[in-house]
Amino acid sequence: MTAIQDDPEMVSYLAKKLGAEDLTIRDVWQNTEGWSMETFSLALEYSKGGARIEQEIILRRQPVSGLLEPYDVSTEYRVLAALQETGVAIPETYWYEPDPAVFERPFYAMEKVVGEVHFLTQETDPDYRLIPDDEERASLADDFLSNLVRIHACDWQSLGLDFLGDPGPGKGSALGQTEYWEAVIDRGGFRKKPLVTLAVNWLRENAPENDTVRLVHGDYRTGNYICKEKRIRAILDWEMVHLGDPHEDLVYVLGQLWRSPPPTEWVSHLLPEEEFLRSYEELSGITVEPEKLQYCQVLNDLKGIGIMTTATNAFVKNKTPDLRPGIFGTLLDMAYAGLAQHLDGGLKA
Amino acid sequence: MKDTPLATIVDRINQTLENVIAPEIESTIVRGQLFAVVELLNQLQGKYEYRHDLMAQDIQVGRQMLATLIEAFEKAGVETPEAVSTLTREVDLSGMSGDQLREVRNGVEGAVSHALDLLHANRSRIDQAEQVEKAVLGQLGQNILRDMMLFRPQRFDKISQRAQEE
Repeated sequence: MTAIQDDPEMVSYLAKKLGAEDLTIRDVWQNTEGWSMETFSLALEYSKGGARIEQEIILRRQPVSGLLEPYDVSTEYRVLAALQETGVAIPETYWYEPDPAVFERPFYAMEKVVGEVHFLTQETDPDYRLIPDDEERASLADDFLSNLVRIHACDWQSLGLDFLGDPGPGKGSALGQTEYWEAVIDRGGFRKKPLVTLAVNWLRENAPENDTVRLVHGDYRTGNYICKEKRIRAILDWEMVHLGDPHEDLVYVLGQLWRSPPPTEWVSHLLPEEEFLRSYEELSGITVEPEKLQYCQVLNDLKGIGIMTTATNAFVKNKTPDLRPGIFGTLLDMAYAGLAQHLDGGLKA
Repeated sequence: MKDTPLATIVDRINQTLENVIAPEIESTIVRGQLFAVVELLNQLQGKYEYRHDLMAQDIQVGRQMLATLIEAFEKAGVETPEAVSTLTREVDLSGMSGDQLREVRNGVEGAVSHALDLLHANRSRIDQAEQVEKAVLGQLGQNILRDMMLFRPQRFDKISQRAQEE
């Protein structure tokens, strides 16, 4: 990855943005944990105000194609910038660059938060612990809950986040998301799958009311935060952020893919489901409604299929040389199985 | 998985091997091995397909679902569109290629989807519409379970672990 490092225009651009002199890019590497937005770490060295500074920054670039297209990296930037003073653990944002001439596609720059990201693997060993230290796990669980509550509690209107699209009261949150993911699946060419049709119609028929619209992260789980010294330092991956029903995030957190293996089955490898939901209610003042959880589970399954079919379509249409989106086509059968199971619970015999 | 022709998957793999991976390999021996993989995959093109029995099962179950839906329409006096009823006819699948089977299956699935939308639009007229949907889901479930049995464990950690290894 020497292209950026040796590019005098990029060096000059970064120096100007940072108000720096004599800037060198000492190292560049592309993170591989994320499968969607392109994330580059840059190690910089420059002079400013008479001091020699070493700094690592992140450039988060819009990909050509992938799991969540069409992409608009500015949405993530604007949300992170708006949340800077809310107490949600997030990186400091520096600037957004819409000009594709600078780095091929739009990107934004932010602080590199130093720490660890827990990468999830599928384990069956009942003694497996993603976070072996119980004290650390308990501390992370507290931070995990408090950050989620802060996201749901934020006053999105005064923060200027209404650009995300207010679904309005009543059934707007549920129907808006159903319509959104139906359109995504349609674009990927999978709308005429009978299971998708059954799910979309069930979601339309059973849409619950939600009169208090909240900011919804959309991808909230272990694996999407950076931690250090037993604390969560930054919540990442805001690509699916939107306004809607907070139960969406709760169901996402409860997902099987990020639970510890039986018998513990801790949600996000952190804490038991009952404890998570009870603590969330206490901290947020929001009552968790089981019917809404059931509804959002089916919606969440549809969303999973939307992501997988978008990735599959990008792979089939040769939109990217990256083979990873193709792997999502192999996961569709698993996603269909989950949706069928949850939909069966929702349909009356 | 069965929605993407195997030929397309192999084409994409070969493109990435040749254009993304090969230029990064410094060893001529290893690069030669990589092109041997490309050649082998390339020579397999046109000589393999998904299992015909699985595609045929999909089509058969699709027709069963159509029958269930048409029966509900007839009971309620809802007219079945021709685009749906024509897909219930038996077709000889034995001599079909994988691509032809996929086309038939997509047609049947599209008709089932169309019929389900029709059921939804007329649910006030159709007695126990939700039970009909549940019955269709049950029929669909047989093949979903079968496909799940063919799923092999993921190895995502091998794909994404660069940062941890460094």
